[in-house]
Amino acid sequence: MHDSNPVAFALMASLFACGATTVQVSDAGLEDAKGTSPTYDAKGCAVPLNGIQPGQVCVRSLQAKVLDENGKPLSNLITTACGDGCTFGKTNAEGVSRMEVHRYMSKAALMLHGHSTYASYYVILRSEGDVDRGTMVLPAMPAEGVTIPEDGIATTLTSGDVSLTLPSGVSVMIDKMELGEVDAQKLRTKFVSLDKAPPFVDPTLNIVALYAFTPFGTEFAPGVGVTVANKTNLGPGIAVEFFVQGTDLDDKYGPFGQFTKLAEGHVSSDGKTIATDLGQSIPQLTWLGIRPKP
Amino acid sequence: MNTIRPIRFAASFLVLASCGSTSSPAQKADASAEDIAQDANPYGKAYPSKGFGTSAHSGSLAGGVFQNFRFYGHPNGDASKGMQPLSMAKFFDPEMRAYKIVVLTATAPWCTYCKKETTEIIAARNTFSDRKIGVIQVVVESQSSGIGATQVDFDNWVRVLDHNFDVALDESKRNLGAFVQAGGLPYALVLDARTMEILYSGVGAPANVETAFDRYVSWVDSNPPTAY
Repeated sequence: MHDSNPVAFALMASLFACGATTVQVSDAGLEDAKGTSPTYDAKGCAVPLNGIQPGQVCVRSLQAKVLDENGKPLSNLITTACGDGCTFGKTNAEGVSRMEVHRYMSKAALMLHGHSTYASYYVILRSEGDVDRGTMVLPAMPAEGVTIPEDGIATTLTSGDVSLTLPSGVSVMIDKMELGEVDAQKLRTKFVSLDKAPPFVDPTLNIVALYAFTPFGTEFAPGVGVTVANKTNLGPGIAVEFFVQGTDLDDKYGPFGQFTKLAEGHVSSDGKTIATDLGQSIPQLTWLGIRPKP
Repeated sequence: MNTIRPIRFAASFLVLASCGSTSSPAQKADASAEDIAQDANPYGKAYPSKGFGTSAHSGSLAGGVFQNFRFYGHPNGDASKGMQPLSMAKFFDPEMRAYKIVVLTATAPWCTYCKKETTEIIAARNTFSDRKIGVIQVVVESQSSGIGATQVDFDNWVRVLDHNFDVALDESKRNLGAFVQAGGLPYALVLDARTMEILYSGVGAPANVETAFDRYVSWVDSNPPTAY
């Protein structure tokens, strides 16, 4: 019986030989607990437990530089290289994070963990080997946040230019594992200048307004209505589309890490606000982009 | 001669959670009743005392025997009694009464894939029991700094996820630091429950948790335990 993946089969076959009984082993004591040196293949990555899967890329190392909106390096920022597992990193005094990954990854991505003090976002990795994602900007979030009620009662929350309409019976899912502090779980929004847009915002989308949200990745079921102040040139009654960076690993809100249209709306009749239409809603808060409907 | 079977994903997932607490019984000089209890499996078999190591089985080379690490955590995910002793001796099962393999997975709050993997293990719990796959998850790193986990990290972890399997804390990575030094999580260890030999050791979440370890169960079914 052979595995459909010959590489995986050969690897696994070499690891386990049937019929082995007593085997040679060094009588290692507790002193041997110095760590296991991983074995890398020719590309410099450890072969996964179940073999290399279609679509996986070998990322040996990942480097990125992170600045704040004023161009100042962000130090001590947590970064992770994730794809079938995650590697931890942190930016140094120069704002540079370099992670030794050495792993085959699907949906490989770099995540900047702003931890609600700064915004957060994912950057999909399109290449393999030693990857340098260059310089990225991470905006700071407002100091004050608004508590997100989790009682399921319909309400409207406002943070900056943004109002969220929570429907009756809404279930709120905040990532309290990563954001253990109560203050980090509060709603904060930030209007982000388009010239500071993260890499996942495709310029060809024609996004005209961009917002960062924290707590990053908060999910609402059912979704929430969104109203923002109209800071664009869009006139009254213009139809718009709302884009969100989906962060669900099962692509529940669009392909992981990508900016995906999730709702439609209009500019108000007085031109002062832009809102999701009745029946339209946003299920996850990460980054919100608005563009005129093509 | 038997055809070498491909080993798929059946591995004991070893989640290493170490008890780094100063109140850990492992730190006591005198053996208490609790110490003695944690050195034997549920039916009184003493935990292996030689062959310790960190390497995984490879070809004709045996893997190291996993140490009888002791932690504190929630047995079967039950938080009602607070932090309870959890040792690897629980899973040592030379007669395979309850376990053929043991899966230990090391985790941390910053690890996105660890959270996903946890929900999948929870869903596969009955399947694992049927196949005699023991599971223990260990919180090894902190969220705030990336260094060793604290009680706060553990509490945050279990508060959100509805564990139905053993979950423990390896405070300051005291026990599992040697395994997770590469910085990648979830870190998986698969052990042969008959001997506590390490069959697999590495980083990454399986594509299909429910079937990932079947091959290691099959290997145990087809091979005698390694003699040390």
